[in-house]
Amino acid sequence: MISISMQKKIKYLVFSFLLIATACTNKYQSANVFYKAENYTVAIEEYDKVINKSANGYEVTLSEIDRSESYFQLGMRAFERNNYNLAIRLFYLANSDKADEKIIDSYLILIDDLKTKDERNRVIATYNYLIDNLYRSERTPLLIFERICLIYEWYQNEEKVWEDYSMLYEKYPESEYLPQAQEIVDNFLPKWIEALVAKKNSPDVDLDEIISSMVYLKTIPNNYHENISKEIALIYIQMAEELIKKQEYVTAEKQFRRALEYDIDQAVYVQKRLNYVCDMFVSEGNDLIKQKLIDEAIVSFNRSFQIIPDYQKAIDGIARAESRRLMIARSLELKNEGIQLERKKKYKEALAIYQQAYNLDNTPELSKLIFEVSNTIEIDKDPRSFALKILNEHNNGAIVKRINSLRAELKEEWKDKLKDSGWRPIGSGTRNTMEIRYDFITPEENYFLSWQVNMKDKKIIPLNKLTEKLFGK
Amino acid sequence: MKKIFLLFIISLSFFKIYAQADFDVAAFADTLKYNWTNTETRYAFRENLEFKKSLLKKYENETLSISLNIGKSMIMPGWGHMHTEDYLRGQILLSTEILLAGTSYFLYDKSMEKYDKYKKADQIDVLNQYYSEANTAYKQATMAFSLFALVWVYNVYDTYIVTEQYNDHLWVKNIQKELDKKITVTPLGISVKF
Repeated sequence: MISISMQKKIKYLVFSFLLIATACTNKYQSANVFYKAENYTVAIEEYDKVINKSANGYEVTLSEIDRSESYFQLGMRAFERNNYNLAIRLFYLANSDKADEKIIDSYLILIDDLKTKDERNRVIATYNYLIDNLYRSERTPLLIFERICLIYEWYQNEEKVWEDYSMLYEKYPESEYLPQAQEIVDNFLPKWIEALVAKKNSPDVDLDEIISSMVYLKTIPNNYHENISKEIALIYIQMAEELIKKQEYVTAEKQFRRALEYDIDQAVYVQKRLNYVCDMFVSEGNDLIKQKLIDEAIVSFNRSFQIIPDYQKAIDGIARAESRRLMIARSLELKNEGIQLERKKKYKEALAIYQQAYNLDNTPELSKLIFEVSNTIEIDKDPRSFALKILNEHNNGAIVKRINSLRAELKEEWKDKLKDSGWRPIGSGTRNTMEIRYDFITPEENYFLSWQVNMKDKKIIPLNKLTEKLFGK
Repeated sequence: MKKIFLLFIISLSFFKIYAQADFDVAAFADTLKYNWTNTETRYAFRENLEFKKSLLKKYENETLSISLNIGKSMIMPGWGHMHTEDYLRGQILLSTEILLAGTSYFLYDKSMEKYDKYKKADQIDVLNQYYSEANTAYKQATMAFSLFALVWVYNVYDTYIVTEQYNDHLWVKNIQKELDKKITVTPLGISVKF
């Protein structure tokens, strides 16, 4: 039924379809042909093309996997021919875990060679490269340990050994090489601790820095943790003592507590020192009570609670302070009451009240009030006798002694011609003052001596120049 | 023709051998050629490859076979497209092909009918008229069929393109899906699973 021309057309169509199908040949598959034929070099180039050009992620991934394997196989060939430098590069390009292990194998062979040539720096540099760049390998702890051994043996570089040991512990805490590395570290650690301890007594040293260094030493396993702790505790105690000197007691207490965190054996000493600090607060509080600074005293007592909660001496101190506050307040009340009584001329009652107030709060003001009111009572009783008594007692009887001496001198000179008036109290214009006179009359010279006695405050004033000249002011 | 083809293959092989002889080992083993400038970038590449490796199986299960899809489209135009979820294009191609096949069949049938009438005609005018009509209808049927064939070929070719695009997109989609699983947004923030 189909005509010849139609058949030709169909043939063209089929041919065209085949042509399209040929053009669509998978590039990955063509690369894979070389891979299967173990022509890895060409395969890698073809895979590179697929990876760079293909839009199909699946093909790209397959190409990357096969390319990695191709590099690995090429690396193995180089490794078997002892061409380690080329093998390392090819394994590097393979970029797989097993290739990394082969890189390490290659480098270890090269390291053995370098060791025989005694090229120590290059050996260490090689280890450095392996540890820094292939840190995901299971053999990295071994490599670190080997580097530790070599650095300690060849260079005695303890800092570097410690650095490596720290890294080994931080990154591979379960590593079997850790105890072996610790043995090396334990060799030089006592020397380090000793050096740090020696530093603590140097002037201008930063003790915090020393503690940080010691704490850092403690973070990594070693056999000297207990020694380090004890030394840290001693440094904290030293810091606390310095703070006590500066009267920074609360901070000092913190340092003491820190010391205990590191060494519980210091508990007795620390407790003694804390008690001392608390006693300082209590003592300060007591002084403030004496100065009647009750609120300040309570603050001081309370400060001791920051150091020792419920410190009994401070509790007692606060009770004393409160009691003192009440006594002062009561004394003030009594004083005011006494003043009122005094105004009402009830001097005896006022004296009793003042004495009560004085017993509660012995202020100079109350003392003066008692003195004055006692004198007032005496004035009321017999002012003349009281005035003479004051004069007789004045300055341990100095006036009376001088009068007696003057009388003796004049008597000797004038015998019976001397006229002696004796003591003559004369009331003055005010209630509390009294004038006392004493006259010596001789044929040639007369002595008219006169004093004013203030009976309230027991003060004596000479009333003329002769009295002042002979008896002083 | 065969000789020319063999000659081409042999020359290609020689080219490869020549290329091998001139091989630059230093460039080939240049550790920086993939831009792994440091350990991190090198490990990152490896991690990325491991991640992609984990998706291979899933992709292989979900990917569409290009040859199978082409085969389907050869049997029924647009079938392959529908498999790639490109339903609109599949429907257009299918309906176009049905239309063209129907038109082609209708015109062919018409031409055969005229041709039968032409064979039975006994007058020269009628004879000429039927011949002309049969011929015109036949030409139109041939044109319609040619168009049908052209669309069919396009359908097959396009199935290849569309399936390849679908597969490419499937890979990207799977990767994205996997990444989305690792990154979850919660009211408390973004959490990343490794």
